[in-house]
Amino acid sequence: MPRLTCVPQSLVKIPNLPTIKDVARQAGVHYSTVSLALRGNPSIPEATRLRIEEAARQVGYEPKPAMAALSRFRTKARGPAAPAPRIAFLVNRSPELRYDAMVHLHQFYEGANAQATAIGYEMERLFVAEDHHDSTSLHRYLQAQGIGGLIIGSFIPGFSGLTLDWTRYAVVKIDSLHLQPDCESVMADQLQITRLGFQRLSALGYQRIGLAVGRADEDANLHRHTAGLLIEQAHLPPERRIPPLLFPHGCDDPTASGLVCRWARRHKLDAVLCNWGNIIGLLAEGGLSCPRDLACACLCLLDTSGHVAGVVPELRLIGAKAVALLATRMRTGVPGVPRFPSLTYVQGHWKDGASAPQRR
Amino acid sequence: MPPKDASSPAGQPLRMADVARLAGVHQTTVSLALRNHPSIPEETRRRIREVADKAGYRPDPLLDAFNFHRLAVHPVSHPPTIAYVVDARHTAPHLRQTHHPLVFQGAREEAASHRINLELFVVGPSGLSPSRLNKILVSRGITALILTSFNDRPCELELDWDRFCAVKVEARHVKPDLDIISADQWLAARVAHERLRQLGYRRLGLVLSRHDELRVGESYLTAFLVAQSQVPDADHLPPFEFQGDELSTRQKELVAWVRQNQVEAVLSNWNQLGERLAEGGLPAAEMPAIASFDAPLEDPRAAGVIQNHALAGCRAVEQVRSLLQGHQRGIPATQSITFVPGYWRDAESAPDRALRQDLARIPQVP
Repeated sequence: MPRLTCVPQSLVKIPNLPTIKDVARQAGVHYSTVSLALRGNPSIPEATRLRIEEAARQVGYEPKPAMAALSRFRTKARGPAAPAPRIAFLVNRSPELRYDAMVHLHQFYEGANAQATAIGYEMERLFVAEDHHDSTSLHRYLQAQGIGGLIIGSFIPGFSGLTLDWTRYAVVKIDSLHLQPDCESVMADQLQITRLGFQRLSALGYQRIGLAVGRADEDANLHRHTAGLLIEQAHLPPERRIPPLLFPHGCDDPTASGLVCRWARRHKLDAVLCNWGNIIGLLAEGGLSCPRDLACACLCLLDTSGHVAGVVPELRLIGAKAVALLATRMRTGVPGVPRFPSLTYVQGHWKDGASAPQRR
Repeated sequence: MPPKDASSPAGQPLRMADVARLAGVHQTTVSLALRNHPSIPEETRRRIREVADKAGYRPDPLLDAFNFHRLAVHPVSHPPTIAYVVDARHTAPHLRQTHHPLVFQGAREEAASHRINLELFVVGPSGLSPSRLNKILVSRGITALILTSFNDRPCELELDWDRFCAVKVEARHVKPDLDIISADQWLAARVAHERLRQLGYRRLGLVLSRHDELRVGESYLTAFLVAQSQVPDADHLPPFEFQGDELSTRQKELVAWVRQNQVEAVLSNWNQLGERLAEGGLPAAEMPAIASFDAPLEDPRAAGVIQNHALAGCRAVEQVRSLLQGHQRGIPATQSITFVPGYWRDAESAPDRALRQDLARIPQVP
């Protein structure tokens, strides 16, 4: 008997969510008044509307996209379709703050937007930055537009943050672990990426491989680059375990160049793994030529057309995963942040390049 | 709003029937093709997708949300099924393993809340062969699959994967590389390390099952190494490693390891370490603190991380449904892993160290 168990189906009790009739009872008005008030119909006086909104909060009523779909289903013959549910993709850069140069933010957005379109959601990109939205104006805008789903798109530490009433939205973050709310997040698997980079350089014949990453990046991602290095080094004899170089917070290029070159020389490195895109330039400034003096592999290789070897993170897929997850949360119609938010890590792929040739 | 097309009646969104007319096929073919169903030839699928895209057809998430509530209220007479596939060499003992029933239960409850059946299938020497499983799933029209494994060594499960929307629970060592949902062992090990340091312990020793490390991608060791890299070198101790269930025969070595390294607190995902140490002859007065990366909820004396195994099961069902919704069948080009966090629970097996020393000074009543 191959199938060992046939599982009895104990159906889980679904709690009855509050309806506008519960709100009406609470506020002492007819439910049609509640309906009009919550949709901001001008026939309802401001004071009444505020009272009804308060009653809705008390009983925990939230309008549900499912019910919007139902009314649309019933009125299909009579009127135009209801709009698609909407997702806001938030970034804390802006065109004034070099948003256009942020290749990774564009890739996240492209992936997210394609996924949203594929499953029938509409997505809008909003800037949370000076001269654009702050938390207050953003909240007003989202409420007015009926946007219930938010993607926090890789907020960069040191720029604008965000404080919203998170109980009102479904939220998924890309990176941004330093930021409230503590919600589900999707990001590149820097542990796997570091391991992959290390393994490929080893396979290419490199013996003394060093890891250089920004301390800010490590603090923001639970030290997962360092973790990848340590587990790879655990399989090496102690004399080949080279301590990682952590660029200090706010480190400028000349300082970083000095640090990385001294470190490479002191430990006689034959290869460097780094998550900064300009690592080859930093080495060159200090007189180390790649690949003549040592090989280089970038751990966040965005431009795959050049001669740089490294690991390509799947940023579009990260954006797509974030939207798929957000849609799962929005579909239930219950907003807010899960009590135990999970983290999803997306792996990267190796790309060979002239900066890390096969070693003789 | 989708862009309007001449073929859709004014004011109406484009329907599947419209796409069918444009493509010159039946509506059901469109439905199957857009769901990427393998019964439609690849070329036809591609053509119909192109027609649909060009005409501006879009699936309707509102109706999807509506269905979510409709299904919650009205039961379906023939509910859809997700196959929960367990790959195991020996079935019975593994299915009784502490965490596995919790994962399964979480998955089953999440499925039930959407009126979906979750049905258990066991592959392996004592269960189905992969080809037999494949046949059953295909003939029953089951397209969604959750795979978990208790095999000790890397292996591959050969199914016709292009037919299925599938994820794995843990089982990193089993091919294919499907998306994975796992308890966050990495976080558990870091949280446990940090909490034991806070409680005053300095010499922390890791007891490591090589087989479990394979299953979880060396998460425990990796996290332990990172945590250790942030404390003084003097506090770095070598881990005690074992294979399979060797722990029940190597108690004396375990005790020797504790003594030799002056281990103040032991960390492991294996429980019953106190019993093993006692069997190895370690007196109660010398017993180190013990913290588990996967403490059993039902034993209130065990300090450690409570893993949300049921939530991992729930998330696995959610992800399979999300793949179904996007019609993403087959093995993904890029793998992703979702970690579900646990939480620390203080308990008597790892008390505050200062408090423990004070207690030890109180004379024992004979």
